[in-house]
Amino acid sequence: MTAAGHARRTAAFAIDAALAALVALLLALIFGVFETAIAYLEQFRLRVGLVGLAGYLLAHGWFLSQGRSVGKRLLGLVVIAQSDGAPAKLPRMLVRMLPLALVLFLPPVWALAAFAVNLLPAGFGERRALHDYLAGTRVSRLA
Amino acid sequence: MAKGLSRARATALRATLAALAALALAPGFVAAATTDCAAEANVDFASTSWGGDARQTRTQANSDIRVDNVAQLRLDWVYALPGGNSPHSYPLVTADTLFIGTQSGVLLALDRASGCKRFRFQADSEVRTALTAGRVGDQALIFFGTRGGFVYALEARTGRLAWSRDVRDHDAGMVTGTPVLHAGKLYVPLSSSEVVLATSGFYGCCTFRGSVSAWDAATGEFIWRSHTIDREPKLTHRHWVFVRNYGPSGAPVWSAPTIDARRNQILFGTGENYSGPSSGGSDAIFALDLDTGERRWRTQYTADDNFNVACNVSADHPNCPAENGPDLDFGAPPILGRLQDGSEVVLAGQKSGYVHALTPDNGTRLWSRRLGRGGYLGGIHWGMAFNEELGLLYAPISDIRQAPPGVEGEPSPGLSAIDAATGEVRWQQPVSANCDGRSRCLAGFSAAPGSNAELVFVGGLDGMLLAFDAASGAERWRFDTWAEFASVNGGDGESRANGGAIDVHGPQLVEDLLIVQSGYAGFGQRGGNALMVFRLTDDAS
Repeated sequence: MTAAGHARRTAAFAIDAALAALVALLLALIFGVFETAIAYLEQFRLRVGLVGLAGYLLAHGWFLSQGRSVGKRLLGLVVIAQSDGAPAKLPRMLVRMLPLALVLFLPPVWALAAFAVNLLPAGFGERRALHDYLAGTRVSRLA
Repeated sequence: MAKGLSRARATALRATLAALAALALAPGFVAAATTDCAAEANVDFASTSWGGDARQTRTQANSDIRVDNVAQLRLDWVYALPGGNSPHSYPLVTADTLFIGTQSGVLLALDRASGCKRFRFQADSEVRTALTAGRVGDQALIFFGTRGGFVYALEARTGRLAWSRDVRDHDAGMVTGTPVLHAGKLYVPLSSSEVVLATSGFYGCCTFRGSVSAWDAATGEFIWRSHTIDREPKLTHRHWVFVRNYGPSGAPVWSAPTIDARRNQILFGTGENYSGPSSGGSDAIFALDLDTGERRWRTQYTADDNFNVACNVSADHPNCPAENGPDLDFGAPPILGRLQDGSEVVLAGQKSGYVHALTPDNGTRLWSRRLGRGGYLGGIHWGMAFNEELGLLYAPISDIRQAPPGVEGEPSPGLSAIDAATGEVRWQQPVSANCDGRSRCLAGFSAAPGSNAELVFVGGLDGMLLAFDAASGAERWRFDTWAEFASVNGGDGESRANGGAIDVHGPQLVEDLLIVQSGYAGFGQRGGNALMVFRLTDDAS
């Protein structure tokens, strides 16, 4: 398996994020997450973070157990363990999600900065982002 | 060696003096007077409230500024208010101290002569109201309200907290209208940010009801609350399948209430309904019993005015009521005017551009006079002033931006003086905006005016501060505040203060001082942070 290219990974991420956002919006509507004043005045980031996380897990949950997501599946990508090259299992995938999940709880400017810092190492060498180093993974393209 | 050191010191001294001289000649420099930074404030108040008196006349009897000396006003010092570019507070002045609130939630006590800081008190959030002062028992207290919905009582001498209370009965409640002190009770109006939250389609609009509540001024104990809408909001419909909508709601109280001591009642005006069904409490003038909060009467001027800011996003927004406005609040406190025959009249200015007169006994309509086209930001926006000796009411007209649907006519921004007994116009001064080369500059008078026996001061959205002859309307003085000024609080990291649009509370006249805050960007005007203190001088040039 070869290391995945930037364009393919970016496209997969865009698909994943859009799908997660769609599910999150549906959850917000169904459960009235943003119907009250307190949601905006005191708990906005917390609620955005929690509903975003729930949206991501619901949208991609089954695929995550196979080292994939909807976007990665569509674009022929898989997350593999750096140690043995096997598709990453769910615990490793959850650790890999951690930095991106935390971003959801940050103010917009900080979130963008953290997102950029996380991606920075992916521009070099093994094309592994910070979350890949954290989880001991890398993204590969299926032959 | 000693001689060399002395020469070096002399050189340094000369350089310092030269630098100071250069600074003094630089544009916008304001010399500070003698510094007195004693930690305690004198509490002999020369001004005690937003309106100058409980009748909200905005006419300051102790002002020394007259037609024949107004030319001797000079800018004395400028303070750069921290925390934002839309300061929303209004000062109080004692024999030696000026108190002011800030957007960073700090109440500052500054030396009246120099702006030097005596003490500060940190509140929960932006100080959103003017300050009110008075004696309660043996203590001189200062009261104010915040965006977070708290009211604070501070010992004026030291800034120590006497008490604070969350005065809301709704999460989105906030205190915009200034609390009023009367006979040991503090009367607090409640407005709300729900009008803006409605812009989110996910928000279940709307459940807030405007109110006035009474609190023991000594202890902060709750006494009564009276809502402007009788019915509690109920589920009215859903949009996007799941989001629940409620009504009736709104009718906030944006401004300071008015005390009618003779009739033992409190008067105030309300804003529009945020959501339907329409209620009789929106865009209305209310009178409540001071002791119980029981409603004596209410007179509604614009019915079926259902509106929130979602309508400015789109008339098709799911939270925009079908009526879509026209959003014609009473943002200005009603004035209880005493006429020359001894009778009294309630004078109410509306964002519609109308001034209305009512009898304080039962709210019967006496007359109405249209002075401007009206609109979302006035018409008459934040306040008016009344000169009892002349029997004249001064109504500033904003008329900026577009008119709401259904509101006809051409904008006519300016200042009008009308006979309080009849509503006849005595004189009018149209705005001549000074906007060339200035971005976000608007032509209109949105801020409340300040007056004394001989003069009316009004601030423009173009930053111009003007004084008109109270009797004739002739212009007597002007000062352009749309500039950058050196501030006296450079030590706080605020070395420059920016002037801009004059809005909200407008100028205050007290003894030999004229005080104004310049810069307000709440609705796209030019922001700023300049607290400007002018003083009468002996300089007649």
